[in-house]
Amino acid sequence: MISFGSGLVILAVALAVWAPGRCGLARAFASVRAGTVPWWYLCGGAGGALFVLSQGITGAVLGVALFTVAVVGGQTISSLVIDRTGIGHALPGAITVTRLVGSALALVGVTVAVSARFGGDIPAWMLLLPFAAGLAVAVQQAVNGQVRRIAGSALTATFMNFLVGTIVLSVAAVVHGAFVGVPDRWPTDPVLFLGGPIGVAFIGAAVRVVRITGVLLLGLGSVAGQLAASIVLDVVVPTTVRTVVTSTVIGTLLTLVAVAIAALPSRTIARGPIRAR
Amino acid sequence: MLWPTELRGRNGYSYYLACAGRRAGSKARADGRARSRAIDGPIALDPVTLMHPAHSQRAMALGVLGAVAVGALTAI
Repeated sequence: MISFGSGLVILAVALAVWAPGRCGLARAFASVRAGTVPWWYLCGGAGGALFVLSQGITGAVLGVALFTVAVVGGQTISSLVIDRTGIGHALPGAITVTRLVGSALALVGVTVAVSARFGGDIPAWMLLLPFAAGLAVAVQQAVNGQVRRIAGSALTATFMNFLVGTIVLSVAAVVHGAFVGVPDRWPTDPVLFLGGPIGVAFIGAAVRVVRITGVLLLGLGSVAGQLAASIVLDVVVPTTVRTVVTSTVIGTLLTLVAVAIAALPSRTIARGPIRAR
Repeated sequence: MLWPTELRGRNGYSYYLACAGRRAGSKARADGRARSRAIDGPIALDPVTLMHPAHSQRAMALGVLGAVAVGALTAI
């Protein structure tokens, strides 16, 4: 909530001083009113909100490892389908051998990377929420890319993402507050407030990249980058809680190889609806 | 290979022209084919990136690196 809210404030200020962003917002809403764009294209932020909610609800019980594997599983499956339908791309992309092999290898890589943190007796149904969040995150990246194309501005797409995400999380916070009460004070650690600016940078960059790579490569690439950066952080800023283990390094390398494989052109297994000639 | 006539309607003719024009200096002819000044012949854009084939692989590689960088940002 703090991350989404602070990100929204930053983007609202940026939108106030950046006219092309405001024009993009008008274009996006005009397209929805004209019926050329589905209204739910503007609701990508709900996917991010679902991710945050699932992290809050199941993260503590599942642990980082299972949560990550469930999210990446959902994200990968959803990305393959979305790229084939063409929501993320300008055109529907075919499902190729390398994309399937890369996706499978990435799942193995992520599982190996976080395997050191597996453990505990976890109810299987709890995996459904992060899995669903993974499905939603892929849709979020696809429709945000479309909003950026329609609006002609990455700022517009990022703003809409944070606006919708903040609304969804606000509703969830009200419901949560009604049952268990509201916290009596704000967090004091300033590092926790970095989530907003980092989220803005993440979404802003993703809406640009997704138009070129598609949702699958964006998802796999960002997971690989996250794992690799985590290792670098653990080495550069070591803590007593986290240590770099061999399985993490091997899994991360596997994931990076998987991204490279998925990016290679290869034979088509299932082609999109537009035929080449 | 995809020609502008096949792209029109679903994704917009202008997007193809803007992309091709920016990347390869291409012009669409009345029959829907594109002709590149650099290649001096009909070209087909990469169906995934909608870019000139010569630029597509480089753009894809840069895009994947961008995705990795975006992910690295979230680790912070």
